[in-house]
Amino acid sequence: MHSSTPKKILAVVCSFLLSLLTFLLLVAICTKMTFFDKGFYLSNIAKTHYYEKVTSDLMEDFTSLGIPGGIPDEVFKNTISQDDVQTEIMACIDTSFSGKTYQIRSNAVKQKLYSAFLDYAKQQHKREATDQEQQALQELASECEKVYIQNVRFPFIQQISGAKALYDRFFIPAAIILGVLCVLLGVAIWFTQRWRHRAIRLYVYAGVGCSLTGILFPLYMLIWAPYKQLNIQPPALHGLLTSMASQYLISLLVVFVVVGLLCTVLAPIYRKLKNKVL
Amino acid sequence: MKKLVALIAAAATCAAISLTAFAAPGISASEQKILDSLQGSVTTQAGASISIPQEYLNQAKNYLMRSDVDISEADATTTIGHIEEAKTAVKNSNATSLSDLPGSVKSIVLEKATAAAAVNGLSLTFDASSSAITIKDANGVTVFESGDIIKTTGADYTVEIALGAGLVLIAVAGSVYLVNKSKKAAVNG
Amino acid sequence: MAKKHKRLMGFIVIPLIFAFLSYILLFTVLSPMMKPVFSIFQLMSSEKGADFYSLPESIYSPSSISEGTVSLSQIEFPVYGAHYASIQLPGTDEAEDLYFGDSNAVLKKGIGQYMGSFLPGYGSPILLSGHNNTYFHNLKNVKEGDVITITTSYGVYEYKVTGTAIKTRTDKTAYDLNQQKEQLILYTCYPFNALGLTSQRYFVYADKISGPEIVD
Repeated sequence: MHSSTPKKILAVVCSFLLSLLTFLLLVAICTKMTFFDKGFYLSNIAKTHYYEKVTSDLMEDFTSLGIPGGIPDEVFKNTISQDDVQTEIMACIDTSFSGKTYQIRSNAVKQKLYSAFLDYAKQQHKREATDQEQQALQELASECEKVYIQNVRFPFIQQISGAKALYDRFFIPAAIILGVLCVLLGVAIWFTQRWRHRAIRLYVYAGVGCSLTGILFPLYMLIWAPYKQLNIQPPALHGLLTSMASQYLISLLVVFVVVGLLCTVLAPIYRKLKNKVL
Repeated sequence: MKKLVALIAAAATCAAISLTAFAAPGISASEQKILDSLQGSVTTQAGASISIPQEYLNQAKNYLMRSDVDISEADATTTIGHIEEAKTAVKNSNATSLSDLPGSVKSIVLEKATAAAAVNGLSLTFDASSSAITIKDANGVTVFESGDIIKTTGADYTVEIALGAGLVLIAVAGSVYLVNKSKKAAVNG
Repeated sequence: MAKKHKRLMGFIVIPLIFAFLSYILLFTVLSPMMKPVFSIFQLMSSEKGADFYSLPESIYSPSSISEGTVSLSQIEFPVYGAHYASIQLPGTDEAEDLYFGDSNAVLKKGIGQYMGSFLPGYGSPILLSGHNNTYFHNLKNVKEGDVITITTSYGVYEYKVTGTAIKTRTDKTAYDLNQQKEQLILYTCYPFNALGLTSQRYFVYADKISGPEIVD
């Protein structure tokens, strides 16, 4: 007895839905393991020498402030180290991913700079700074503090941590729902097909379809890399964002290539079942 | 849509510096009419006065002076019509500042800025460390910058600046579009 | 054989159709949310990346024309960060480089012009800034009646100092960029030679007395 046309169409639709839902599930899992994982940020930061570049930018900005403030570059040299910057940024990411707001320890930096300024002023004028001078130096230290915060604060970290909290809230229920739907569709395909090899064929359609859906877009993005043309400064941040985008796309590509390859495992099973029927 | 963007942009770009009919070098009579229509502020339903900051318009004007811009009388009339539509939309809102404009109006600005920018190779640049916004042309040269006039130590990013940047972007981009359009017309005509 | 070939094509064509339909569906559903994101992305993208740090080449070639008119079409308009003129304060032996734009990079190299002000000869205000311990260290000595000279590639301009003022940086009465006369406004940090930063700036105002007028 042959399957009727509506039954065939329904089977193909189920296969398509299985393909789409599997794609969505895998993208959700991949995103959770990258953009919403602290390790992803820390590994990319290390890979792009982000700490070193931020420290360099910070010193550049400090010395730019030093010019109108009458403070030479040497005064700033020993105030901030790369280790300090690294500790601060890591703590910022760590705390934010725990769902809390991180308070940058800028006051300590400000006090350190202010002391350095006072020492320099004393060295220059051979006397203690006057009240007016102290006020002006405090103002300079405050501006340096603002610059420190702007450079060290991980950009958009509050937004990322907010998005992560939201994502975490819905990820498990969504993953369960998608998973259950996929299983149901798989079961529906299996039991509506008279011949098992046809069910396998529909699974292969779904798997390869999912794989192609997940490969085409990341491949396009990796080849043309439009995200590299984004005008975000400073260069350290641009490099970091580019690296993160590339790694995310590569992760997606790998996941979906694996899915595609797994489908090839089904091919001999399909042939075996088909031969049995014939 | 492109023409709408270009016309409004051209108008905004050539914004008058004065209330008089002083025609500065490089600005024709029809462009001056557009400038005059942009002069001044719009009072919203909330009683607030909104206008494009003069220093933003000056920057757009400086950019335009790199090449000749000729807007015909007909285009100027259409442009002024569009400007009045935009003014009406702002007037009918309850905004108290540029940043307060309703999402629908902001979306329109963004959409037009994007279309205009795409035509003319202009782009927005955001510096995360200083929170400064600049508009750059296709060669990466700064056309517009936000921030304090009397320099301090960094610009404070506000939505108002961003929206202002978007408006000037339309302005600058649209005027360049009109430059290209007028040049093509001259070549073909 | 043909049937086997047909089956094999089915394993490619149908998944491709699935992929295509998936993209259409996702685009339709996500489009309203993604539209502003795409707009911002498009707005912030350029083939040539933004460069905040290097300055363009100098376009300065000193002119000796000090009167008459100069056509706008004959002027090479400076781009942001370009060295386009020189400025000499009274009582100084050397002129300092004048740049269009006033970023940190520019102020490290010379005097910067705010790009919301206009070129010499245009008949509109010119706002210049410089550090008081480098290129504007002589600004404090400029008095009323002194003459400041700006030499561009298209003309030589002289400005007579009309007054000075000490104002805070946020005081909008310190300058008027809307005025219809060519006023040269120079400012630097105040107090001079002070260590640290204050909110005060020292302003010098001068009116144009000679130089070719830019015409259309």
